[in-house]
Amino acid sequence: MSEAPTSTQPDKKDDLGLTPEEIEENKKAQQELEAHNEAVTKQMEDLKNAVRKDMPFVSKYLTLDEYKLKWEGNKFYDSFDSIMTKFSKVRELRRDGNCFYRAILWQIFEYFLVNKSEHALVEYDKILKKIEGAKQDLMDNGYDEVVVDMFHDQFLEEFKGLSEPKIDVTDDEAVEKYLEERLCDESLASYLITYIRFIISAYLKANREMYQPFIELDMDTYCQIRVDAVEQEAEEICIIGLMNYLDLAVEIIQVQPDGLAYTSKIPEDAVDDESRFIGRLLFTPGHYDSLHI
Amino acid sequence: MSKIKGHKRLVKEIKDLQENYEEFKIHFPDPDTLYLFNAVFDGAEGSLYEGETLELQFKFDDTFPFEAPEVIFVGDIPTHPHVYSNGYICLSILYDHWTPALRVSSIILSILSMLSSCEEKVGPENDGSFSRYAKGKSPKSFNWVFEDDKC
Repeated sequence: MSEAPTSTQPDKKDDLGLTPEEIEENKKAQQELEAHNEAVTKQMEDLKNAVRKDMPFVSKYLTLDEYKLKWEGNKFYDSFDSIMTKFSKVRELRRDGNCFYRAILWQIFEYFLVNKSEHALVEYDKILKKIEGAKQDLMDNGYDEVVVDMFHDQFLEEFKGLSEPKIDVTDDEAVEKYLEERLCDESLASYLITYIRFIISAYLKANREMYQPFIELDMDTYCQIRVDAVEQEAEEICIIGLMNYLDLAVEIIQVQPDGLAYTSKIPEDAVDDESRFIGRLLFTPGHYDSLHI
Repeated sequence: MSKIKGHKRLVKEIKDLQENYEEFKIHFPDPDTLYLFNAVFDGAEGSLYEGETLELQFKFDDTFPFEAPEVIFVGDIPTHPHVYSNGYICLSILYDHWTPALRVSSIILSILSMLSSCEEKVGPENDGSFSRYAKGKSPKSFNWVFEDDKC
């Protein structure tokens, strides 16, 4: 267009054929758009900071009565009555995209830190073996050693640490502090959570014939942008992947708009007989919190 | 200078680049820090960028590896629909689709592949206004919209 001879153009137009008024208008629209974009970016940043400041990564225990109060006037309000028949306490999780991962890690770590029964020790050894072998599984499924090393070493060190902690595990406060130091820390917790994301991805990729039909994206893309990516919320398939890989179980209690609560178990035949680890999560729309008896 | 949290990982990555990727020449503009380096490489043979020398600048901070490093073209900026004339690159793995599993070498390879799949050497449509607007801002401070699967 810039090659068009200017003499053929009747008005003072630029090379796109715009009048000065139109150029001015375009400029204004552009500036408004930029200002808008800037405002949106700032708003998102503010929101993130607000969540950060007001909400611990994992809260102290709330009774279910206290938790229920937050849902007053909401259609899910009555659901908590039926949940209360089985559970008494909740720990709230920060809504940062890591709620499932942090909640389940907290429960796994707490269980093996505190519970030294014969059953628990057998289960602990089984998981420890899995984790020791996970590095190879990750490398077999496309993770470079340079990437895996730090995450693997850090996780293994923390998991091993659960067997001989330097705290009194009968002291609830000491246990809480121990877990907070590991799972509510910007740095260490990020490593532990990312490692869990990686082993889920590796498991899904290793079993892609089985899991591909349940996801729309191709498996590698899915794992990259929905599982590995920091702050992406866990979808059900991620939870299934983790439970299957580590041979663990979880019970998810989901509030219902009719005031009831729906319980799902992964795996479906998981038996909650207190002889083995079973995670317990409360699912409210878009978010997991940690449930306790 | 204090160490960033991902220091150990970065040292491994630099070593890996120097040992296993001869085609990417790494140099450090500031001898006092590892956290800023440039990678110089040739445009892929058979692509529109064959014969061009390309240079990326990498900048790392405490968010690495949980966020991508800041990556821009410096020197002679290649003309490409997703590369702005200020060197900023519209590529999803540098922003929303970054994961801690990605490496410096994966970034360079992705950018090379982005260039290689280019069919026409034209700059981004909104290059002029964006480059003016972006002055003094980090490429990571924008909400990038990724328009197609190459981006």
